[in-house]
Amino acid sequence: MKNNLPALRAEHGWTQAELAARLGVSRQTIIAIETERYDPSLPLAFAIADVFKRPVEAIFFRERGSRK
Amino acid sequence: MEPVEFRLLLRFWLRQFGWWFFAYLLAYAAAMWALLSLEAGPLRTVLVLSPITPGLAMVFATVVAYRRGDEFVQREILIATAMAALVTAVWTLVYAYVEALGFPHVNVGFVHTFGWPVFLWRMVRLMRLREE
Repeated sequence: MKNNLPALRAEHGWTQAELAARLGVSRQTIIAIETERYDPSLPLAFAIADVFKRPVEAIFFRERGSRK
Repeated sequence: MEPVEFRLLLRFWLRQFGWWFFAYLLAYAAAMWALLSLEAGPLRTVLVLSPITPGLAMVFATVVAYRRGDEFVQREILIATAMAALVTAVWTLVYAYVEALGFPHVNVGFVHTFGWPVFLWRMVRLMRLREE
């Protein structure tokens, strides 16, 4: 699944560690999500959406034609 | 539960786990030596039982790391555990037939030592995860 987490994080001026601390997860988890190695659970996806004050679908989306 | 910085946690865990694994290998070597070389007695008993403590400590350290980890860390630990179990299972199966061809009969602790390095490798790989 694609995401625009790096862009949103840059927009807010947060490091990966800062975002991780706000979400209560490890920095490795943020790295794994940003590099699309890991798709977060729904609760974590909603927590990310809350932190950025955006709807989930504005942060996570599918590539056109992709089922993932 | 308080969020734990993953790298600190893993470093702590690897330090614990790495030493316990080293201790396990030493204890295993001592146990094999005692089994093959010593007469029955208290020293032989102690040496043969010695791998149990570091072996259980490795399992305990893994459980602690799992409980403290977030969802991604927990998933990675489960994958590493599954891979280690798979390697152990395959090696057990293979050696069972190799042994039938005349290779020496070994303790199950022998195949156990093949699974843990796989687990350790997966954890080191995870710890080295960097931004691309």
